[in-house]
This record gives sequence, C-alpha cells and structure tokens, in this order.
Amino acid sequence: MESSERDQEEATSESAKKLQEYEATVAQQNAIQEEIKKAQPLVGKAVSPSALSPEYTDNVKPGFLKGIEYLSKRYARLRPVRGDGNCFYRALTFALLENLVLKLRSGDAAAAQAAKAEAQRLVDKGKPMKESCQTLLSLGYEEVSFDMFSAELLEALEGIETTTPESLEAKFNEDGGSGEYIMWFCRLLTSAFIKSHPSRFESFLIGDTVDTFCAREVEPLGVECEQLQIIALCEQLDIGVRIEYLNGEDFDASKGLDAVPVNMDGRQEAAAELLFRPGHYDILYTA
Amino acid sequence: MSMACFKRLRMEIKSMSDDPDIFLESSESDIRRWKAHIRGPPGTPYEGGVFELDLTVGMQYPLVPPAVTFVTRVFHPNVHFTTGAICLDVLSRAWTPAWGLQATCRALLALLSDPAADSPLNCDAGNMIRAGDACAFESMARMYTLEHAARDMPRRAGS
Repeated sequence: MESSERDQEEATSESAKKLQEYEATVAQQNAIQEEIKKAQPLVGKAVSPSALSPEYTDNVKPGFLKGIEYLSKRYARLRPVRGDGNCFYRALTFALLENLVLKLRSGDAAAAQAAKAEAQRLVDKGKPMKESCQTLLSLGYEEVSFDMFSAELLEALEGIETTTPESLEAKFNEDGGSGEYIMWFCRLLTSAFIKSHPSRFESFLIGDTVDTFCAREVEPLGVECEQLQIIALCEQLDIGVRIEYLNGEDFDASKGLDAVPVNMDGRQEAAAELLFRPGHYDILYTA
Repeated sequence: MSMACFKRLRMEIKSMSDDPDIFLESSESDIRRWKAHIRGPPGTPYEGGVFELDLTVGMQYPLVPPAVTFVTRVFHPNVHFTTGAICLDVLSRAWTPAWGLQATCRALLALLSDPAADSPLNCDAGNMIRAGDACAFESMARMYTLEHAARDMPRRAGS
C-alpha cells in the first residue's frame, strides 16, 4: 500500500501545481476585494454629480461628460456605493430607508405621515416582511437560513422614526454589519419573487430554471444584477424606482438622459432614484 | 453584528435535522470549529466509506462560507489528494447565506456523486474521467475509499 501511495504522491505534482494556481486565483480575487474595501466605503458621502467628471475626462465616448453635466443640473447630489457586485441591492435598500428617514425629519407633517405609513406598510400588510417570509417558507427555504436577515430589515423599518441619516449611514458602513444583512435579504426577496412567478421569467432564462438562475445569479453575494432582478425586487417590495442610464452614448441634451421607470405605474414617487453606469449603481438625490 | 455568527450557529444547531448520511459535531471549546462525517453515496466508488471533514466558520459567517477541507484522504478530481482542499463553487463565489453547515455537507455529498472533471485539483482523477476511463477512475477511488475511509459513522452520544 505504501508504494502505491508514493506513486500517487509523485503523480500528484501536477495536482500540486493546480492547487497553487487555484490558491493564487483565490488570493488574487481576495486582494481585489480588499482593495475595493479600502478604496470605497460601503455607502459613501453624498457629493455633487459633477464629482464623477474626472473619471471620464479621457473617455472617448462623448456621452459621459455631457451626461454628467446634465445630471449635475437635474440632481443635487450623488451618493457613491461600493462597487463589489452588491451595489444595486445596497443602493436600493439604503435609499429606500433614507428616503423614509428624511421625510420623517423634513418638518412636513404630510410627508412624515406618508413615510410612517409606508414603513408600516412594508412591515405589516405589505409583501416584504410577513408575506415574503411566508413565500420563502413555502418555497422551501428554512427559517433559520433567513431569519436573522429578515429581522434586520424589520428592525430597521420598525425603528425608522428614531433613525437619523447619520445612524443609517453608520449601520450600512459596518463590514458584515446590519446593512449587509438587509442587502442580502433583498437578494432573497428577489429570488422569492422570481421563484413564485416562474412563468413570467422562464422565457428570459436561457438554459436555466428559476431555481438554478436564482442560485447562481441572485442569491450569492457579489453577483451583479440585471434588469430582471431589479423588476423582481421592486415588485416584491411593491415599490417603484427610477434609474438614469449613463452609458456614454450621445444624447439630446435638451431632452436629457432617459430616466427609466421600474414598476412606477400608478405611482408618483420613486422609492429610490439611482444612477447606472456600466457595471455599477449609485444613489441620486433631487434635493 | 459581530456576534451574528454565534447566533446563527446556535440557531443551526437547534434546527439540524437527523440525516443518516451526515454527522456534524462542533468542538467542545470552540463553536466555530466543526467536524463532519459524511457517508459515501451508494452507487459511487465512495460507497462503504465514511469521510471526515474539517469545517471552520469565520466571524463573518454566514455572509461568507465556512472553510472546508477533507481530513480523510479521497481520490476525487475536485479534492486535493494530500491537503484535502476542495474546489467547489458553493464554497466560494456561489455561496449564499441561505446555506448552513448541514447544507454544505449535502453539497459535498453531491460533489462525491458528481465529480466535475474540468476544474481538477487532482489532475490524475480529472484526466482519467476526461479520457473516458471511468473504470480506472472508479477503481482508484474505490481502492482509496477502502484504504482510508472504511469505517462506521460515529454515533451521537446517548443514542
């Protein structure tokens, strides 16, 4: 037995190389993630949209600088979000909660009342919490697998009246913290909607079932989202968002960029205004 | 949230279902160190073997996957023959917090049943499968199963 083992040991020198390659790849991926962590807060401070210009001064596409100029007129501020593949989910959840906080503290009684009602809707009879958790259980998810995550979103919504913009920022800036739990729960809510409406989505999933698609493209952290996930999450939360697309294409400056509404039918206000640039989402503010 | 991993582990312990093919046990001194024994799936060259795994849970669990290695030597294309390192997407990029330790063990049972020859950590095993020599692969895998993994599942204390 010992000699056969030695043969095997020698024959695995190729395997040793493979292991090294594999470990090097993992180490490199980790190093990239670490760099991103150091360079970008999870949720940054709001700045003027014109702060994006330096990134594009040498860009050959004419639409970027022109688009940033347009955005600077249309929007007061832009909040950068860490580009680690989770940016859409993080931008949406942060903006959704921050909008409620800002309205509650705006001094406008009607707006505050509306925000309170919206938070209550999300907690209570709305889809996200109780109904969503029921959906997840009926889809076969075990409570233990999402309980701590749904609890964070629930707690954020129930505590919205005592939340300040600063405490919300702090909550979302802790690595592995509460904001990250809320962000991942929104991935799970996205999955819940897609899986409970398979006929609506299956024709878009080439070679995938809703289950395999969600396991690969929705639930793992760090996987970027596409239009399909955005629609699913908005419908699950029963909210609408507006997304500006800054992709470098030239456009008619008098008309502006196309702010694309998602699930905005019958709504006046978007729960979040977002900016898309290829591969990335940030938050926009009109005021 | 720094205690989140402990809370989650305690919840997982409470909700672990009895699975005759998986025996999971945390270290007495550290709830983040686990040993698992998994039963080689029937109809595979690992049948009749019981394989020990080492699982270490980081502080950011369950946002990040546990680190898992085979302690028992196993001849499998996606497991390194000497270190026990495992190449499996759900233990890295495809991990989701919806999984727990028991689900992780189930994923490893699935890996034993369904080796992926195109991302080998054990090139010999990978090459045999890719060359279509299932017979050679299976006899090697079976030999190592008999040599290193022929044992019973541990019994839970008191049962």
